[in-house]
Amino acid sequence: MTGQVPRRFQALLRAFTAIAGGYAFAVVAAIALSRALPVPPAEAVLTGLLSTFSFYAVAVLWVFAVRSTWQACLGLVLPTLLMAWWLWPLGDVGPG
Amino acid sequence: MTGAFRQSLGALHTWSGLLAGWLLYFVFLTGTLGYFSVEIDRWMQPELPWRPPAATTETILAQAIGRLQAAAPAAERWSIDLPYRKSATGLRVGWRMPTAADGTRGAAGWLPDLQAEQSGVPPRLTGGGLLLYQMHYRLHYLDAQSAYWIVGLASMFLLVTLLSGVITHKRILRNFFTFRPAKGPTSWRDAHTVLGTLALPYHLMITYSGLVLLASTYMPLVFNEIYRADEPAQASFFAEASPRLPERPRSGVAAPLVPLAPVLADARARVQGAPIQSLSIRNPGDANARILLVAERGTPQAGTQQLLYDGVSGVLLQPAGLARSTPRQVRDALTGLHKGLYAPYALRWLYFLAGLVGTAMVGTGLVLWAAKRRERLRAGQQHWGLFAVEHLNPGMILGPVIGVLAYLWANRLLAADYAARGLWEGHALFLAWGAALLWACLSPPRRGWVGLLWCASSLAVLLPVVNALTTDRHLGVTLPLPGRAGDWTLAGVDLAALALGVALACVARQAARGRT
Repeated sequence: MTGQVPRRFQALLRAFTAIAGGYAFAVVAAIALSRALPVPPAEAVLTGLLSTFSFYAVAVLWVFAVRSTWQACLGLVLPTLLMAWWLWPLGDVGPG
Repeated sequence: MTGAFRQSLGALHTWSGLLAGWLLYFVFLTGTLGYFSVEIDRWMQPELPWRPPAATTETILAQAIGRLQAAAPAAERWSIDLPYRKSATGLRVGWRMPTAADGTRGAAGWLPDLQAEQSGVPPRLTGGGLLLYQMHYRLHYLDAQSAYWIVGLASMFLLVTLLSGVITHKRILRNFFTFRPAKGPTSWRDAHTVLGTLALPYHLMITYSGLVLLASTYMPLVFNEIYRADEPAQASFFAEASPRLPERPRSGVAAPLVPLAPVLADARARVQGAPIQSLSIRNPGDANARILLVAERGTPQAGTQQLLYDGVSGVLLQPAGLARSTPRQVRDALTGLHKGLYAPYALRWLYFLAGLVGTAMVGTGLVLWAAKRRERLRAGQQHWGLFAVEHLNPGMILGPVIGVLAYLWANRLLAADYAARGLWEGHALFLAWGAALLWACLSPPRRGWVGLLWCASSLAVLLPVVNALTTDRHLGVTLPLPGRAGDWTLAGVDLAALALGVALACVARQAARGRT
């Protein structure tokens, strides 16, 4: 029974990371993609919107596929932050 | 691929499957019925004339324009949705009054159905097939935004579940040809895998395109970030997204509307026979009148071709076939595939079958969930989660079926002139589902399954009987026989109900013998 509590917590953490972290990753990745594409804004945004769900799906699969929970979280949070840093360099107001 | 990796994905597949499964099952069921929403609509309004007289588009348009000129001569816009093959609504004729000086939008309305008006008996109010179809993304009793988000979350679950399911079954081909009947959980797993693989391309397509359909609802930040301060760009994005008449003020000079037949002939030649879907007229009766014709592309790439004409001279102002960007084409293809509106009847049936397979895949997955856990427990041992799922499963899987049947029953049993009947048809669906759920919760699981199976089966088999007792549009007259035209649309709904009832009865007999 003692070993089960942290395991449950880990499962919860993974689920939260997958749902919320995956969403953040998908949004930031889609924005980064539409920024990087050398096409008119309407096409870029549509490409971002079309691909964002595959980013989300891959992120969720990653979170549950990696053995260590911490590795799973870090592996998702770091790229999200890096992309966000590239999109909105420090000093900028950020999204919204 | 390591074993731990696949095992962990297997756990993900199982848990996310259950969480979203009950909702997805309902979404699949109502969405699948949605492929025949027009046919169900027709069945649910038996007062409509027996066989609508075939009319050419020219006649329909001339009639509609005449009625609009009488009903709303001062309108800012008239719109006519033509009843073409893939239309989801049939003929609709509507108008909108000009925006008032203080900025309030003008009143708008639809003209009553002409055939119904002429036949003298107003068709009963009904939610129709359209309400069933809408339930698969709007649910019911919820505001649109909440419903979209709930369904979106479940769809995301399904996408992940499908992908992880594919990875878990690395021997997918061999598993596909494996079915071990009457072996408890093993059989359910085989059934689940076979059903999941059988229509896997369909499932991935329908899930992903469903998400794409509401992408800007789910991912508003992507849109906002790029268009943050750029309002004209935003407007152009939306203008591209849906066909619109260009804004144009009234000149104040009266001028008669150009006869539509030549305009229609010109448009037909330009879109190469693609069905004309709708027509809208801005500033009718004014020198600044404009006519916008929208034609369907005859392929899954959906999308439309728009032609803009001068409403007085009939001169083409803007040709069809505006170039679409690649992402736009991809999006149109996805949404077109999702709705299946391009599909002729044979393909529509294939869609319907794939949808049923999807429904069955989710259903068997839910049963498998419980069967697998039951197998792991020793006899007499109990687990609260399993206990709950085992008792909820019958009501959550057969409940929606019973609900939809109750919806159709209510259509026939509620008084035809009862004002709130459309509302109560919807209530009937959820009342019946609720009752089924409650009854099954309070019964032992096996009795719950068998009882609800028989209940659904009798509701289905008796539906044509109720239809025969309450209307004169029953199988006795609608079934096409040699020497009698009949009506496949009306007969089809009754026959489908009969087939469903017989199938459910077979399952119920098996279940009662203890082979579940």
